Amino acid sequence: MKPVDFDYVKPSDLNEVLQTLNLLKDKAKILSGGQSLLPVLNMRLARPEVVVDINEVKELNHLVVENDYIKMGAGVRHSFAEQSAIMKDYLPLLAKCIPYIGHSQIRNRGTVIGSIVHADPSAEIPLVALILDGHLELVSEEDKRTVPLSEFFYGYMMTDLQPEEMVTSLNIPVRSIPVGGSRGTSFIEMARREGDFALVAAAAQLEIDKEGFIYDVRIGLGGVGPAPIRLEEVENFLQQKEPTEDLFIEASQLIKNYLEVDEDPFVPKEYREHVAFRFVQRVLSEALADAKTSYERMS
Amino acid sequence: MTKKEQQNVTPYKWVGKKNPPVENHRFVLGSGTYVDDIKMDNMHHAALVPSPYAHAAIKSIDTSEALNVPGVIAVVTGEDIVQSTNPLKQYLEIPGVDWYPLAAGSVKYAGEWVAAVVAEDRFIAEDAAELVKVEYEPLPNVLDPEKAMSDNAVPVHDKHPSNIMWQRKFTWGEVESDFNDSDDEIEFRCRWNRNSTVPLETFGVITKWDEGRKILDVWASIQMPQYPEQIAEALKIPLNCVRVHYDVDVGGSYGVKRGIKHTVLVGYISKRYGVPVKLIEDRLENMRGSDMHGPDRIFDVKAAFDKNGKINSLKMRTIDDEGAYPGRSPLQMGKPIGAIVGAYKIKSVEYEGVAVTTNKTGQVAVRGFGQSPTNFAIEMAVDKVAKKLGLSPIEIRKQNFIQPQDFPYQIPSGTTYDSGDYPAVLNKALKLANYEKLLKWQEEERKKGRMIGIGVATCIEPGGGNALFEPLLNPKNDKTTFPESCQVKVDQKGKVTASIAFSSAGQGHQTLVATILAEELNIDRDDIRVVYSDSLSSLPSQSPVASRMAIVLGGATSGAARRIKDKMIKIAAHNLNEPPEQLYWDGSTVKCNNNSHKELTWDEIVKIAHITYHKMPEGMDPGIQSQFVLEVPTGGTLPTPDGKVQMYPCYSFSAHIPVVELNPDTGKVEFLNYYIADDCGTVINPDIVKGMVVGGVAHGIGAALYEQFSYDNNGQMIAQTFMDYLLPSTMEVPHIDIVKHCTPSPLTSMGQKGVGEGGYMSAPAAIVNAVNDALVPFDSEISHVPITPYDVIQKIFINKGGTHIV
Amino acid sequence: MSNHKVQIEVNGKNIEAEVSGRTHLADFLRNNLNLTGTHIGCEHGVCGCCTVLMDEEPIRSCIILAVQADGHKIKTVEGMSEINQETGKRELSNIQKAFWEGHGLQCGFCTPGMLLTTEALLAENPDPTDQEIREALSGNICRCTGYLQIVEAVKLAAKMNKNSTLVYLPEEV
Repeated sequence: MKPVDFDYVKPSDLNEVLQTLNLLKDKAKILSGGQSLLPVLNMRLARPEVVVDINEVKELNHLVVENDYIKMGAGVRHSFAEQSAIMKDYLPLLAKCIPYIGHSQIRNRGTVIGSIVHADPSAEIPLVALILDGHLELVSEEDKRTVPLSEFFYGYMMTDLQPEEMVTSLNIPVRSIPVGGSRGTSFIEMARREGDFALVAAAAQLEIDKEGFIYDVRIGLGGVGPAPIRLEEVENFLQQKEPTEDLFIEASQLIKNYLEVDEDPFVPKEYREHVAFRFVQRVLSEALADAKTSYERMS
Repeated sequence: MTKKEQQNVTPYKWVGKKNPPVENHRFVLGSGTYVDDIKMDNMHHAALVPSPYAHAAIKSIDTSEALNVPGVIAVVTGEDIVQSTNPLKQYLEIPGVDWYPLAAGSVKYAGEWVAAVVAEDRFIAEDAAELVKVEYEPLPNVLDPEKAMSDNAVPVHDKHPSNIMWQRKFTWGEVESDFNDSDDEIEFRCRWNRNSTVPLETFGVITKWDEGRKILDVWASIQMPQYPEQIAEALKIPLNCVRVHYDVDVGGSYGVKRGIKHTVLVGYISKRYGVPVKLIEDRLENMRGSDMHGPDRIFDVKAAFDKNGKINSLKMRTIDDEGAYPGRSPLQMGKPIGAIVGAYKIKSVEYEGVAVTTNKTGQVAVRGFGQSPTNFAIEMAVDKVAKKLGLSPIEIRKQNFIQPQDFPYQIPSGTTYDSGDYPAVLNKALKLANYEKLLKWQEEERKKGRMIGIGVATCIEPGGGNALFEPLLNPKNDKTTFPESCQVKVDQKGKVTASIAFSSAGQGHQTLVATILAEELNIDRDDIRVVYSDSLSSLPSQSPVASRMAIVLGGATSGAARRIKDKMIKIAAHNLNEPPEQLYWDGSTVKCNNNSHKELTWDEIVKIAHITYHKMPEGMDPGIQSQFVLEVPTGGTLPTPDGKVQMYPCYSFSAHIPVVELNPDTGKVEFLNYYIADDCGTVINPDIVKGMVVGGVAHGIGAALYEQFSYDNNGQMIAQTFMDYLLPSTMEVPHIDIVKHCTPSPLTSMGQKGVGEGGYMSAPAAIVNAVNDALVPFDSEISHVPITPYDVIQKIFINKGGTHIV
Repeated sequence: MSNHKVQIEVNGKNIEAEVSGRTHLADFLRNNLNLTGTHIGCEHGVCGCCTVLMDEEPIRSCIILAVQADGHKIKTVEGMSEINQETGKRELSNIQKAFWEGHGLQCGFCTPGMLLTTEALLAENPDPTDQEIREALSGNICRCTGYLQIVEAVKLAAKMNKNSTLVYLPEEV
């Protein structure tokens, strides 16, 4: 299990990275955290001619609040994001999902954007970024574009990213908590073992207004299709209603109509469906409980 | 028993006392020497070309492009190997089933090695391996063992038209009349799926041929009886040309480190190309091509019993899917014959074993040598009888246990259990678990909707080893001995060094030998060195299999130590001018019964033996050294023609009580508690024993809930990496509470028994019983391992008409 | 094929070496520097045997290229003990002593990774609970011990960090 022979380059600025990508296209592979790339390199499943290490590109290390967006550069590692105060204050849901990623050794190297680009359908970050209306900055030598997460994933581990492009930043809009209300979040997942890729993951963020009604709700599932899905029907159904357990059970029924789980050599389809129903309900109740706690904390 | 209690009851100074194992020092330093840490001049590296097909004829192999890669010195194929070596040993009588390190003529499983590339480093070897062009003609394959048994099945080995490699039905006692006379019976099928103990170190080996000295030096991460013998036989060289170096730390084995095909391959290359060769399997080679998978069994079980719960007779049929090359693995259906009734007085047994070959990776010996799957089937049967009669799992066991006064107790298959007190051990486990209270709590929690299960398994652990399954499965094998040896010397300065002749894989053999020598010789354990020798300078050894080392190496060590003391007494007698009978050891001084002034210290006697030879008794050899080769207790007889056999000498016992909860959202089986009462006779080192028991449970948790080498319909292994083959972590293995009991063995030097496998032999049975206890309210049951979350959800919800959508 | 000059501080020593791009850090430590205490178990980042500390953080050295360690600090198990300049004897760290005393190992293959992950854990959390220990070590697989004595050893190490006279090991020769 040794990689094929490749050239290794370590550009120190973004332009150099983009030039290299433009020149080599598919023959180049970007190395950031390497936690997904190195295993496939070792197994010779990835066979690049050139590995472009972006770890020295300092301009990709930003994690800032800017113009009502949280912006995270391609160099931001999971462990850094997890511990950052910005994350806890503005994006508690993202902070909550990070401990589920691999193990500490993986989180110390792996990057937030690496996880999105790798596009595993059950990965934590893509799911959370999707339901929080995140978008990506995709840059090439000749172009720069912004793609919402909802349009980034094409199919199983396939994305809109072009060979000459790289993702430089993940931007997530800052939402303020409704006046006199509260916000709760929850992330749960089922993995065979601690740290494994999830079979099913669920994330929810619930905002309650001062009258106690649902002001805004975002909910999504990972692992039940080729890419994470946002449950818009569930969100619409819940909007402006009074949150109760019965309501959440009713809401979970809605996914019956459009959940399309793939067969898998290990996991029966019916199993993923079962967990999905259960998780929709549970992630909403947990988010509600979290909203109540944070309301009490504030008042 | 607490540490303090134990210290109070044992008469020993070192044995049974807490003393940090001596091996630990090098391991915490990171200075263990594993085979991949060994380097030598001009060392070359091998990489392998695996078969992509489960079954295919090899039409041609083109090695030219690979040979052109700079740094490559050879590409070896099956044809080269067949010309120069003998086939690897088969223990069954199966003419036409030829097993070589590289596939010859056809490939018989996906991942089988087709060619080996030898290069100056591993990178180059792997680059070149990709350039070896093999042309295959795919053939139909056979993957299901029952289908493989049918007359018209595709033969895996075309020169052996039947895929049945071995089949024999044993009947011990009046099975039919016992069934007829019984009030009731149960019948079921259960499935033990393919898993293995998968050490974190893959198998590795280095060989070096010295043409001038005529020695093939071998360093390997090996745990295998008759390893040097099989190397010599396959390479067609005299046994005294093979020198296996045992001073190699093995990074875990648990039975499976048996890289005979690897060794023969690189041994051949070293000899043919004149270079030292290292082959370290990478994880993919290890998982699919190492032939290290474990038992893969279907059990059909019937038990006959009376209304009061007395189990009278047992019928068990087991079909074992050996994969492509049976090797030694079918013998794993033989060992359980020595404990076929478990801990129970069952009058008669019918046992049929069938070894079937399929287009899958070969099996090898795995921790327990087949006893863990068999215990799983026995314990499931016992629980089913209880359930049918409305008895508790405790009542049924107490009702059927062999009682303490029954020992030594001969079971129907001819094996005598040495000693035990099963009710006492079970009672200790019940007390530890606070069982009555636990049951009440379970009832309360069930009312709230929680799915709690309490499992009970009371299993036998045969220990000590023996080769008697060899003649039992194939009368052409007439091996009836399974000895172990120890050499001890006292040097000029009075320090003691012992030498042992096998490699260790974490079992603590240096600690074992040093502790027993310290006890026997009454010296400080940490002044003793225990070194590993090599196969040419050593006495007979059968390697640390079958939980045998405390028993046979322990006994050999005691024997050698006693010879040392005898000699020293003789020297003292001569110098003190007293008859030896009047002398005794007081610490490390020899004293005289009838004259308190007469004494000789250890150091004085040592000086006489090594320096002042004129003071030695006439005719006595200089120096102080001894050796002892111990035949396994009760060994040395062949099985009877009707298949009765004294299998192993010592029988440990343990009671496991895991408490599990099933998660209704995910189907996950979560441990709330895990209680064990364990009796392995006299404990030599309590830390090592605890580690063996808990480590065995971790393997059992893997087998019961996580680990499976699964295959798709094309015979492709789909759990080839650690992403898919799930090894339990700290989060899956719970805290475990253990209480000890001690019933000494009458057959061993200090009453010790085996303990290396009991955790693994009991845990899967106990966990399956626990999960099924949790499923009682759903009138549902799972009868295979591993039990996945999908199985649990299916049993609870999906089978019940889709009520999972709540 | 590209070769690269690297400067890495390994166990406090500044190392300059040339390494091919495709060599991972574990192979570099083992083969180029002969630091064979770092073990390779799976080469796909799951088992944790190859764990080392990079800039004080545990990482898996089989899934980072050696050239990526250029300019960084690496600590391997060999760097956990040190020679006492007065006595000339090699002295173990408390974590190593605790794993020895508590028998937090059997075959020793996963041990270096366990020790280094423990070092990072105790640096961050000097008094971890059982659960915190299990979580911190969940990326380090052990096939021998069933983890019980490893968890106990970590707790012992935490205690020893507060009171270093707790254990009595055989005198080091």
